[in-house]
Amino acid sequence: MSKIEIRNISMDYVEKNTRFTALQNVSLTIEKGEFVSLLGSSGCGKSTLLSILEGLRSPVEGEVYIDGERVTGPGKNRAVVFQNYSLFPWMTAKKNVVYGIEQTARTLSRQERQARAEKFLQKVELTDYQNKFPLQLSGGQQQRVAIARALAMDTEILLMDEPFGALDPRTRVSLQKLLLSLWRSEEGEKKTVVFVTHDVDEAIYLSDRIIVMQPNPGRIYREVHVPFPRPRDHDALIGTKEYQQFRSELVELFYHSDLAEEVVG
Amino acid sequence: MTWRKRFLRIPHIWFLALLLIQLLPDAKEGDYYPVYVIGSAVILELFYLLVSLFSRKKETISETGKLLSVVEILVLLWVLFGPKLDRLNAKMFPAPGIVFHQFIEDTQPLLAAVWISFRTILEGFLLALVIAVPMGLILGWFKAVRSTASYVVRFVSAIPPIVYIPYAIALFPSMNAAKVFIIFVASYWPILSGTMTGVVNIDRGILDSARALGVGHLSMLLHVILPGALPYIFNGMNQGLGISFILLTSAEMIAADPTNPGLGFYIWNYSNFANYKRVIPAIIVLGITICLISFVIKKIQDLLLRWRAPV
Repeated sequence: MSKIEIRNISMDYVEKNTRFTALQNVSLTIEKGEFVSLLGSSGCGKSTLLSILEGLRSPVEGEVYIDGERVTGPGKNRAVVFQNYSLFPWMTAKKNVVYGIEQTARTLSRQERQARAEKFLQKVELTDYQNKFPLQLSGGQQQRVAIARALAMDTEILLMDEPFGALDPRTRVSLQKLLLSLWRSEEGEKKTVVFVTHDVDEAIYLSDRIIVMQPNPGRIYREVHVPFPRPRDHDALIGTKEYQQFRSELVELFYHSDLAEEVVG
Repeated sequence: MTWRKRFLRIPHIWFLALLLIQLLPDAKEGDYYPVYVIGSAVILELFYLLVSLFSRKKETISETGKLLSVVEILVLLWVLFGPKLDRLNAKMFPAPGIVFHQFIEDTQPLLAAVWISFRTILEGFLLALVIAVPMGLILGWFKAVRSTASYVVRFVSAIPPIVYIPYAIALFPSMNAAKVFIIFVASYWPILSGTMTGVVNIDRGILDSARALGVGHLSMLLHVILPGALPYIFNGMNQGLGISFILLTSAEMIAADPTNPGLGFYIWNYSNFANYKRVIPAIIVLGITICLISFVIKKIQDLLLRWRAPV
């Protein structure tokens, strides 16, 4: 049984009296422990698809199954990191993580939750900032807290909606490295990750598999397996000829997916 | 800070002027209690010297100085146009010394009146807070009732609460209960509408984040919606408090209750007897009381909303 099974999903929006198809007949299966990226330009429905996986929206048609069970709303088996607004601004960094833990691990004692939050904040190197409020932190630090919270919740699935989209390139790469090393080094079974991005390099460096989506209506265009073995050394990898070759093919796909939009639209 | 920066400041001149002006002859014979003016000036000066001596920040010293200057210049003009030149109506504006003397004489009944007014406000306001906030959270949260509720709130809060005073007096068994009710009504609507606005204005993204975490209903209300709406709740509270002060004094004047004399009654009563030397201290005390309450609320607000300001 696949970890996540998306069966023939369609999604509509009505905006200013016009019906607009965000997703049309999308089907996709994701295996346990897989790192999958949804890649596409804006309007391709990648974030909508993720919000359906989150359980925040219900599709007009089709179903999503996780471990064979139909998704009808948010669940304790999924943790989410958004581009913005993941954190509650009135809670300190640590309180945010503790609050996340409280939602999934109700059996832990107060001390255990505190200790767990501290452990994960240490993993994202924010021990010195744990008593700061989100607005007192930089964008990169806020996303690190959000990642710490998502990982500390110890869910089997991690859903990430352009989590590094608002960061400067340098911070972005350093957070990609951090995410990958945390994902790989976790005890027990690896989490299944669904990662939404419009950044080709980010998708290649992080993913096992890349789903290229196309807009108008949002649907899956192509699916690509990333051939580079793990662990990946970011700086060494992007210098190789194989990487450049793979990247240019992917960019071409990406470009074609967008071109298709212009033909249709 | 150098010695000069600490102590070489203009407010000291006003202090000296206040002392020296007493050397001028009075326009008319009479006891104007100049000792009380000098005494007050000395107390202010001592306070300023202490601030100048111990304050670490230059701004604190200069701000305190400016504030004291305003008070001292006012008293200076009062002395000058009052007893010294006799340009002020002595009945309406008794000499400052006389007022200060009366102030000291009346400390006991003044404090009692402050306490009664303060208690009335506190009871009415807390009652409104305890009922309006949960109701506002619920009315703001459920879309089905939100817009209807907001029309009702807009209509009712447009009515000046002063019209309820006769009703309250007729309906309630005691004047005290009537006054508490009026404060309650006056602060209820601003707090309710502030809370509803706050709930509606919480970022969708934050609510989605909470939903995605799988937060339960109660925790959603207590840990997400309440703190998210808090900035607007404080707006409503401050509005409600402002109206409460106005209404309390009006209510105390209209619902005159000599057995429970609050500050409003105190002022009203002595005005009726044209006893202005007792009215002025009461007005000053009323101003100070309102400032103190607002100050305390501001401090609580800054503490609870400290997450809003990046440090």
